[in-house]
Amino acid sequence: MRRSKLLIGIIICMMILSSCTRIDSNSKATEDVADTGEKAITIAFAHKSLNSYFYTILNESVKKAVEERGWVFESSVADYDPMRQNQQIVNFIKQKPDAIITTAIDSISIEEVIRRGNEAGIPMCAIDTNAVGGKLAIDVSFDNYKAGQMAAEAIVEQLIEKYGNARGTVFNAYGELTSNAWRLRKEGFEAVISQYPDINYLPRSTEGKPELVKEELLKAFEEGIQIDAVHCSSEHPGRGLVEALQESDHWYPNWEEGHIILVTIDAEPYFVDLINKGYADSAVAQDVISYGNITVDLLANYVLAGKEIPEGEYFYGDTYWQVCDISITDNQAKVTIPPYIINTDNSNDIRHSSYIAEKVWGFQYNK
Amino acid sequence: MISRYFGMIKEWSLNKLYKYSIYRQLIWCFIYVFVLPILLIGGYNAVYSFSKNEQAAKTFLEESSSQIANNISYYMFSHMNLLEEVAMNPEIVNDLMIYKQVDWNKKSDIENHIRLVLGSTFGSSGAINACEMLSVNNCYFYYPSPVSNGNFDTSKLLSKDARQVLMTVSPKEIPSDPDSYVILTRGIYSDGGVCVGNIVAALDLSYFNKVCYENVTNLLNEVMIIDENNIIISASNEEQVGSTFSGDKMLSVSISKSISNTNLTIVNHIAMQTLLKSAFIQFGITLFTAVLFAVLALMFAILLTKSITGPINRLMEEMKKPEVEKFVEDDGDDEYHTVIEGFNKMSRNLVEALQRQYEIKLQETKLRELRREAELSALQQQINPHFLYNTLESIYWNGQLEGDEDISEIVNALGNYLRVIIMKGREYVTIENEVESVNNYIFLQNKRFGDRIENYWDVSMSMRHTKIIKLAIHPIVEDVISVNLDDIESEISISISIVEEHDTIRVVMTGHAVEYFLGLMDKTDLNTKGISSVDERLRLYYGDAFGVVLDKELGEIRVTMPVYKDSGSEGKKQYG
Repeated sequence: MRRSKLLIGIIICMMILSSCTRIDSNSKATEDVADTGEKAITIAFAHKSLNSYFYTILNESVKKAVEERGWVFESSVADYDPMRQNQQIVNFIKQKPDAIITTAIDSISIEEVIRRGNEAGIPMCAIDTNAVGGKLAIDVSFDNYKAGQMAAEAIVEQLIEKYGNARGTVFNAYGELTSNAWRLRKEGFEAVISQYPDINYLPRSTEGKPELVKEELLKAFEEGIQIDAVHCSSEHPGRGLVEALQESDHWYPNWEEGHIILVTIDAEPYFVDLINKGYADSAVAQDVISYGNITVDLLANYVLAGKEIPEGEYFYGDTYWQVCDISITDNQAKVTIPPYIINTDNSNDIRHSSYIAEKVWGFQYNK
Repeated sequence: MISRYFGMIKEWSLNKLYKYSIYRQLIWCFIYVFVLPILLIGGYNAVYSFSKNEQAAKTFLEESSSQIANNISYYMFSHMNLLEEVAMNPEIVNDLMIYKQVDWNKKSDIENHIRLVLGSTFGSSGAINACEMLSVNNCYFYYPSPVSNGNFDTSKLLSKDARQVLMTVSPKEIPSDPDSYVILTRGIYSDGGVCVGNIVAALDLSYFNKVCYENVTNLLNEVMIIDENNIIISASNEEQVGSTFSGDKMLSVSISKSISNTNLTIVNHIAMQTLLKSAFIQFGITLFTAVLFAVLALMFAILLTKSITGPINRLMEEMKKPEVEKFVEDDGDDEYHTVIEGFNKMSRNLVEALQRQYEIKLQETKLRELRREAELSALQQQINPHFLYNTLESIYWNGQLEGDEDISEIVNALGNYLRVIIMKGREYVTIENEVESVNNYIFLQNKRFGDRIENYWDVSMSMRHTKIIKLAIHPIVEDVISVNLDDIESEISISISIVEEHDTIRVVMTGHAVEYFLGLMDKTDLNTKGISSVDERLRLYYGDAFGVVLDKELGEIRVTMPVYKDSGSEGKKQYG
């Protein structure tokens, strides 16, 4: 009897249910969306400046490397103001990103915020310009000393080709020595040049300013110095060499008489174009795009995955240079991007940063 | 009128229903009472729900579309305004005009200034993916990345004639970025009205995607934004982005609204299929319930039918039995127990009635027999056998004395004939006596009609002392011969065979006389008193299994009767 009552009750309920069911159209579909609770990985980039082609491309390389992984890219630009950069990093630390990458304006004053990041448990990374003090999970830098050496070797090679031995006059417009990069480049350059006593070496301090570079070279020409080769430790001021050569009637391609050997460091699109046209002989390439790629790659594969970065040679297939060196000191991975020479033999290779930045990413170069 | 319709309904439904078995009646009753109303209510509810949903959808889409259009319009207006501000900034105009002519320091200052302006104007927006400023003498400034290919002649995004912000949806002219953006373009003019450059900004579509996605409710509407070429630039359904909007209104409830300040249109629509879906779901639930009820109806019908027809079947089985061995047993307490009790009572009454009927019939038979016997006895009483026999004896001896042998033979035969017929107190005779009686009759008739009758006997000698009921053959032969004698002048032949099979005597009469007799049966009103009398007596004495059969097909008359077993007294044997 109780079963019968139960059965009748169920049947009546079903009848009522079937007759009264109507979909409520007022509630939002978003209520149904389950919150997965997964937070996207966020990488903060505290950049020193966008005031040069190099730094613009560096910013883009980090941005693309982060976004290609589906991560969130946050950035700030300090415009060469160390205090501002420190504050920007402090702000990032408060937001608790998964990692902070910085291009230090002041290698010393940035120590404090690096330590704060360490205390917050956020992996701190430095690229291009390192930081003194604090613990950096990844420190990606360019072998500026070797770049200087390679530039000198390229000039020596051209001089030997021209004279049969290493002799002649070499003009070097070096930048501010307070800049670690420019100092190392100068030292590397001079370490090679000094090996050739027949070379007349003319170093000129130009503070990294193109107009001073131009002025110093023109002054040398006016003094009647027979210059065989010119070099500038960076291509932004190197444009002063180009204007000086043009204005002093020394602007000839390398197959014409009167051509002056021109070797620079950076290999931005403008100078790679000059190599293709024969006005410049070679440029020591600083693969700016690999900075962002290798940093984010190491973060993804090791640091954020809780693994230790392996020491030794690190293969990076998409680059022209292929293999770089990683040294580990006190759990800090120091990655050194190797310089390489771009000359007429390889100037059209699509792996160069200059090609990718200009032709693929569309970053036009103000000549 | 109402009664007419009621009558029709009754005719079509109830009357038909009454003709069905209980099982089918129960199913149909259940369907009429439960399943059909559920289907009707569910169907009506589904249609009503669809209609209401459609109206609600239209209202919702209208309100939602207006809100979305207003938001996007404001959003676009604010960004266009930013472009206007930068393009009208006199410092920017001156920077573009002098950049090529100034020294490195000044160039650097201009680059910084433009970048700062672009950064401060668009950097905080979050929606600007990239912006770019380009001078007519090919100086580039971008924040943080370029948009166009940097060439006024070949770029589709740059225009020297854009005196107000132009809008288009397209990819940037950057090989590495195939995504579409809302591209805003504005020419930059000097005070003299000369174009000095162009500013281009690429707005991320994420805002549009967000708007489209967030305005999807569980009505499952689709929101999309289309450009002037009907290309879907953003949609809640990402797969539709990039395709051409077909605008098939037949299959959806759709609302379109132009977004002011832009050349975009918001389309908010709900597929008819979606609206129907809820109705279908509703009807599906109803249908499921109806099917469930139908199954339950079937089960209940089977159970109820079994409970109804089970006792009936038992009764039927009992009724089919030829004899009532025992009455139906039922220890229940329901209506069927009453029915079974009634049946048992009825059976009991029936048995008793049959018993009474049988006794009455037996009584009647006895009475009839007694009456016959009384009649026969009265007839016999009228004849004084001794007087008759003495008279016949005198005639016989006179014939002998006179030398008339014929008279003597006739008288002798007549005496024998009468002796059998009027034999008192004996109901059974031997076959030999019956044969002799028939022969005497034929002899007498032959004497009268000049030996026209020929008869043949086929009787085993062993049967001559077998007793049968008296006058079981004679009256039949008399009827047959009488008819033949009346009509036929030629010879009359009749063959009679008597056999015994399993205590049953079978007498078969054949021959021309029999065939002639049987042939006249249907044509004329024959005197068959003898045959009727024999048949009636045999049936009366022994039951319907015995009697006289006139078989026209075989041309014979058959008489069957049991052999009389002498039990010491002349009683009658009882047969079923």
